[in-house]
Parts: sequence; structure tokens; C-alpha cells
Amino acid sequence: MRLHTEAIQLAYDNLVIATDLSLAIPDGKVSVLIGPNGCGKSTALRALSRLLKPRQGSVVLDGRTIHAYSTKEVARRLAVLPQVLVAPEAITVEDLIWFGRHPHRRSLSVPSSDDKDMVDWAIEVTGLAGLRRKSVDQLSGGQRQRAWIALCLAQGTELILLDEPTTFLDVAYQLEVLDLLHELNIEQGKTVAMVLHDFNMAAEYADHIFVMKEGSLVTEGSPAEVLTPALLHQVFGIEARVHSHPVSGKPLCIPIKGRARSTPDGSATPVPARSRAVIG
Amino acid sequence: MATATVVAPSASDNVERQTRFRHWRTPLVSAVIVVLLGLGLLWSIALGNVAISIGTILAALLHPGSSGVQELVVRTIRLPRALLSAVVGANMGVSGVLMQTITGNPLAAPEILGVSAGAAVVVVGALTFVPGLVGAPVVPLAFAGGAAAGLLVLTLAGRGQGRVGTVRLALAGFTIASLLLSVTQGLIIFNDNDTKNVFFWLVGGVNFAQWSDVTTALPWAAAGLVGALALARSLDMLALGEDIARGLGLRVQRTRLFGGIVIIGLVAGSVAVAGPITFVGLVVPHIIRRLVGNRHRVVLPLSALGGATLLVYADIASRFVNPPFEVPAGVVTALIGAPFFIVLARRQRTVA
Amino acid sequence: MTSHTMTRPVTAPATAGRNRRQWTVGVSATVVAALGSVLTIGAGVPGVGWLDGFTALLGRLDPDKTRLLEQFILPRVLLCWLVGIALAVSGGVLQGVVRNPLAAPDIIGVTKGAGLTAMLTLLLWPTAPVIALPVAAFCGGIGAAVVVYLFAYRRGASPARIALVGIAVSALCEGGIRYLLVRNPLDVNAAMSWLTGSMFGRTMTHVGQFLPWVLVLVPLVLYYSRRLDTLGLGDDLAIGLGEPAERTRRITLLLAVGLASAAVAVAGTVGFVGLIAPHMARRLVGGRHLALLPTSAALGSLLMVLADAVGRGAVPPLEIPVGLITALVGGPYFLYLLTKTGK
Repeated sequence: MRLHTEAIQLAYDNLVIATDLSLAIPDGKVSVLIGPNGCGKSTALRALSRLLKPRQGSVVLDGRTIHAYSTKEVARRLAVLPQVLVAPEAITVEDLIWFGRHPHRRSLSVPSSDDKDMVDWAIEVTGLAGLRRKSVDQLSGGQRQRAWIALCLAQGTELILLDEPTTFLDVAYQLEVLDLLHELNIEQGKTVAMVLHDFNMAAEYADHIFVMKEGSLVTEGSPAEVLTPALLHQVFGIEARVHSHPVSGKPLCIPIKGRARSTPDGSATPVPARSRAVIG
Repeated sequence: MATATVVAPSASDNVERQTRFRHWRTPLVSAVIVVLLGLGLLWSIALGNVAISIGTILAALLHPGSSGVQELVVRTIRLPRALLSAVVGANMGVSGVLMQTITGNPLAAPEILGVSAGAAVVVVGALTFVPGLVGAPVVPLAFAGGAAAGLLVLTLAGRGQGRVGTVRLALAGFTIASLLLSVTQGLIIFNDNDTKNVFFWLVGGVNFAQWSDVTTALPWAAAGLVGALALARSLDMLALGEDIARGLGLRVQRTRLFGGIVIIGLVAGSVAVAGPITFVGLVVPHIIRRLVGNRHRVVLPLSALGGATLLVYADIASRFVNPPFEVPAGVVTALIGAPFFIVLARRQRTVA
Repeated sequence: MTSHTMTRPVTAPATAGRNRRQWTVGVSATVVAALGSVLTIGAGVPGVGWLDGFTALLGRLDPDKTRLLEQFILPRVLLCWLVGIALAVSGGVLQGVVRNPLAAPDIIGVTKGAGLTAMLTLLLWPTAPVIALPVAAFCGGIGAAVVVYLFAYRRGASPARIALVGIAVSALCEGGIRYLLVRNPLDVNAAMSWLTGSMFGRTMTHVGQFLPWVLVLVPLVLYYSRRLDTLGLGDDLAIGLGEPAERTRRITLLLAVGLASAAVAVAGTVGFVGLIAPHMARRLVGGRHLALLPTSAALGSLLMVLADAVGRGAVPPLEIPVGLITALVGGPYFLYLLTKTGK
């Protein structure tokens, strides 16, 4: 296991987000962190990728605490894609992907043939060959996300961490991105760890799911082990049935309407008489 | 991206938590401010080369013609000065509230718009090319210059987007003000015969206040406050966000336009008689909102009173810093306001 | 660990083409700036014409006029180059660090801070040796920038906070400057000419004082250029790529502030060069700092040289301060920029 945390506490200033959190990212698999809003899943991912230093405990990468490495050394071992991404104005796809070679290059150095190979490979694998000279602004949502993933791939790391890589994307683009990550895992043996907020997408693509609530790990395991009606009720506060996906056989969670939060007596609050007249 | 909340959440929480006290909270705050303002005005009149006792002041004000020279000093020098600082401060307070709500930007304030720099450059230009220009014609010139600069910054920075991004507005205002300042300085280099007059436009203050200044500023202040109060409910809605306001049936562009006119009237009216007075419009609305919540029909008049109080005391302080020399009140308010601005800037979470 | 599935890749010809274009633009900007300097060297000097600069270079000009040019104008032209380079490179770095194309050296307090300490020296210590003014201005500029950074720092100095705090600190210094001016109305003209930025009376001594700054700091900035590029991706991704974002920002900010303070110390507060030169350069050669900064430097020099020439030649024998000219040119450009960058 190359990356894991040992009882970390995470906090921003005085606001404690998570305590005593131990996560171990299984090598060569796709892991997904899920949980309701504010449960600390993104914060945990930031800690795993050394963007946030834990207040207590440590994140261990390849046998050493991650903050003992130089940030450049970490970048040669794991790649991270934040949720909010800003592309420099009018940059081309290829130039954007070249940034992925940054941890391997010295200042003012001329790119080596290794660098060029890696960039070309990243472009090829992500299917961006025809778009390499296009400006990033001109791409579709899915293509743009693929370009960012290609940037991480060009880093040449086995570990790739992504924070909600499918937010703001249409469902077709979400599948495009997740299919790509799945392929990378199967064909290239990459270890992928990501935060998703859609538990059905998590069930479909994950080998391993971590479920978080209020800053701690509730449970972990394969989608079939983890995603049960009881858990969905406990963690997300919803009533749901769990079926088997007709095509993949993975669990498929179907929420039931009107059961999210029940009012004490269930009666409707009437519209005040005068306003009702206006509405009528 | 530019999602900056108008009110610090803590302010509204504070109010909610204390709903119980809400009924007497606003009257209490108003009473305290009024008392502070009254005391400040008396102190301001009493203070000077010749100290004048409170009794003499009251006598001079209530029974004219009773106490000779001192009464003359009170009526012709001290009283206009105290009143002018109150009126100008009130203008700044009200225009600050309007600015912050209309731009959806907690750091917006009249001086960020480059209004004073605009007024300064026009007046200094006029003094350079028409030597000996004094008195009445200067005021409309300052007004025109200030209004033009304000409109320029607001329209350019706000083009095409609803809420004006904090940083964008600040940078636009700052840069345009420094352009105008360069021109002003250039003009001064070529025109060294009218230094005192020119300096007033660079520094600001109420040291040379006359009754005519008060009567010039007062109509603008009154009209501005009335105009702002007429907008109060629209501003409440706008504070919720442009889309929600529109959903509630508010004509957002019209509110903005009308509000912009009121702001420029208030600020240009003040700059014309007192030069650049910075940061009052930034500081006062924040304090008032913290104290009484975010209902504009309360916030606006209290910000007027608060602005008046702040500037009256700043003017008093200006006489204490380095006597007998008087530090311009504009410098004093900058000393108070800049750190305040920094605190606010540090609190900003999402600025773009 | 690099698991290649590709055969030998084709090298991208586009990169080469783009590099050639960037070189062409950079070199032409430099040549234009040089030609401009020679052509305008006679501006404002009685009896010296447009082509006399070339004649002087060939050693064919009347010796008296040559001496005149060498003694009074040449130092100014050289200084214009250096100041233009320093301000433009500084502005280019700042726009990258603050991630805002509207940023400039002025907004982190350098200009006003230097102005304040320079005024203190000019007005309160009139008998100070000549060297005192640039030293004081330099310290003021650096000091104000450090204050801005410290106040903007809160879990890292966010670019937006740097900009906002910079404006506040500038306003504070501006208040101080005004106070000093009101207190000492008699010395106002010297003060104003310094505050506006002027090349009047600059000699080879000034050039000698300023040259080392440019020679040391500019190459250092260039060394950091690719690391500056990564800051443009946002802090998280920059760190993900192995760039210690906060430290890089601190170092490059310090370099930029050093350049701007030195420039202000020697020339007074020349505005807008640091704003518009990097901007024009970005439009010509794109956003990569290694290409952007040299082009920006050439454009900054050109701007300074032309502005100073206009200042000397427009209404002789009077001289318009160079800072006023750059403001008059730069202000409208900035307004145009504002309307363009509006979403």
C-alpha cells in the first residue's frame, strides 16, 4: 500500500473538519470517497495529496510521511487534480499538458526526449491527438476535463488523485471522464482515488468505496458490501432501495420520494387567506 | 466567480440571535449616535485657538447678539466648520451604503470610484488656465469632474456583469485615480502661483469652511438622503442577489441607475466643498449594519448620522495631532479607514 | 515507471514555429526601441535634429553638440532603458503572481511607499546628500510591499488579498504624502516633479547606481519564469506539480518589488509602464513568462524613451515630467483594457 493516512486530524484555522481518520488507498484500484456535503471528503483528499497538512497524525507515502518529501518529489510520485481549475488564457491543449512535466524539469532546461514522449503519450491515451493545437477555451466540457487529466498523466505517476472530476459536467461527459479513468486503471495500472458525490457513479466505477460522515470514516469496502439501504439512511438520511444494475450487476441505489425528512404531523401549512385570494 | 456577500454572516446572525432586543436595539443605537454627534458638535465649536466655554456657545446660539467677539467666532468660523463636517460625513455614510449594496461588494466606497481625483483634476486645471478663479464657479466644476470620473469607473468596471467584482472595481478605481493624480500633479508643476487653493483639492478638509459651503452641501445631502430612502426596499431586495431581486419583481437596472445618480450627487456635492474625504463611506455602513442589521430604511439614516459623527470627531482629532498645525480631516479618516479596509479585505473569502 | 504504449512520437513542429515567432517579436521590439532612442535623442535640444543621433554615432557630429548630447541626454536615454526594463519586468511578474491582468507595481504599495519616504527626505531633511533620496525611496518601496504581504498573509497570501491590501496601504501612504505637502507648501515643485516621475538632471552616476539592480534581478526573474507559469494554474495544482506555490510567490514578489523600488528610487513614481508593457507583450507573444518578460522589457524601454523624448521636446524650454506622459498614454490604454477584459 503506497499511500495511507494514520489517524489524522484535519482543520482549517479553528474549524476541525475530521478527526482520527485512517484511510488506506489500495494500489492498482479505483477508490472513491463519498459522503454528504461537508463530510470532509474533499478535505481528506487534499490531505492525501499534501495540499493540507494534518494537525495530528500523518499521511504516509511510500513508507515516509508525505511532508518529509520535497513538494517536487511528491509530484513525481502522485498527481492531483483539484476541483476548481483555471486554464491560463488562450493556452493550447498541448501547452497545458506540458505543465505535467514540470516536476521532472529544471528551471530553464530544454525539454528532454523523455518529456516529449510522455506528453505525446498522455495526449494519445486521452484521445486528444486531434485537438492538441486547439485552445483549451474551445473544448467541450468532457474534452477539457480530459486535457486536465492528460496533464496529470504527463506527470508519469502511478497514483492519481482527483477531487470531483465530474462536477459541472453533463452526464455524457461524466461517463466520458469516468470511462477514461477506468481505462487508465485497467490498461495502465494506475491507482486512482477520487471524490464523487453521486453514489451510483461511485458504485459503477469504484473497486473500493470509502464512506465518510461528519469527518470520520463510516465504512469501506467494495460497492456491494458498502451500499446498503441501512447505510444510505444512516449517512445520507434517505430512504432508498438497492437493486442490482441490469447491465453491470453493481448495486444501484434508488431513492424513494418524500422520505428524506418527515414533518412531525405531516400536515401542510396553509397559505394565508388574503394571499390565497391573490393567487387564485 | 465574483460572489462576495454584502453582509458579513456574523452581522445577520448577531441580529437574529438577539431578536428579543430588536425592538429597543435600533432606538438605543440611534440615541447613542445622536448624543455622540451633539457632544461632538459642541466640542468642535469649543475647540480652537481661543477656547470657548459651552455656556458661551449656547448663549451665542440661542441668544444672538449677547457675547461679542466670541459669538462672532462661533457664528462665522466654528459653527459652519462643525456643521459642514457633519453634512459631508452624512453624505459619505449614505453613499457608502448605496455603493456597497448596488455593487454587491463590501469593499466598495465612494473614494474607490475616483470621484475626488476627478474633482481635483478639473478644479486644478481650471485654476491653472483661469488664474484667480475662486468661489461659486468652482463648486459646479468639482461636481462635474467628480461625477464624470465616478461614472467612468463604475461603468467600465461594471460592464456586462451584475455584481462588480471586488478586486476589479478596486483596481479600476485605483488606477484611474492615479492617472488623474498624475495629471493634477503635472498641472501643479506648471502652476505655482495658486498653491494654497490647489492644495485644498489635493488634501481635503473643513478647515476653511464658510456658511456658503454649508448651504451648498446641504441641499445635496437632503435630496440624496430622501432619494436613498425612497430606494430602501429595492436595496433590501438587491442585497439578496440580483437574480432573486429580479425574481421578486425588482427592476434591477433601474435601481442601479437611480442609486448611481444619488451616489454621485452625494459624493460630488461633498467633494466640491470639502475635497477628498476618504474611507468614511467604507467604514460607517459596516459598523451600522453590525449594530442594527441590514434593513436599509434603518441603515441609511443611521449611516448618515454615523458618518456625520465620525467626520466631526475626525475633524476634532485633526486639531490634536500636531497643534497648532491642523492635519487635514481627510488624512485622519484615511488613518482610521485604511486599517479597517485591510481587516475587511482579510475577511474576504471569495473575491475575484 | 513510465509505461509507454506509444511508438516513437512525432516532435511537434508547432512549438518550433511559435518559438521563432516569439524571438522575432522580441528582437524587433528591441530594435525598434534602439532606433527610437537614436532618432529621438535630439528632442528638446536646440540645434539637434532627427538624424543627428546617427551622425553622432558615426562620429561626424559637431563636437560641441556631441558633448552636449553625451553629457545631458545620453544618461537619460540609458536610464529610460533601465527604468523601462525594470518596471516592465516587475509588472509582468506581478500580473502573473496576482493572477490579474490589471495589476501593476503600484498596487502592492511600492510606488506610494517610496513616495512617502522620498517626501520625508525631501521635505524634512533638505540638506540631505544626493544619495539619500534614492536610498530612502528604495527602503520605502520595499517596506510598503512587505507590509502589504504580511497583512495579506492568512494561510498563504491570496492574490486577491494582495491586491486589496496593496490598495489600502497605498491610500494610507498617499494620506501621509499629502500631509507632508500641506505642511511644507514651499518645496512643492521639487516634490511634485519627483512624485510624477522625471528624468530631469539625471547623470551617469544614476545610471551606474541603477545598472547592477537590473543586471542581477532580471536574470533571476527569468530563472524563475517557468515556475511563475505554474502559479497561473492556481495554488493547488501548482503544488500538485511540485511547485512550492507560496515560497515561489514570495521570492518572485520580492524580486519584482526590488526592481520596481529601484526604478522608483532613481526616476520617481513613473506610472503605467509596468501595467501596459507586459500587457502589450502578452498580446504579442502569449503568456509564457520566458517569452513574455523580455518582450515586455523591450516595450517598456521603448515607452520610456519615447515618453521622455516627448517630455523634452513638446514645449521647450519647459519639460513635461516623463511620468505625466506615460500616465496620459497608459491611462486610456488601461480604460480600453478594462472594457476588453469585462466578462
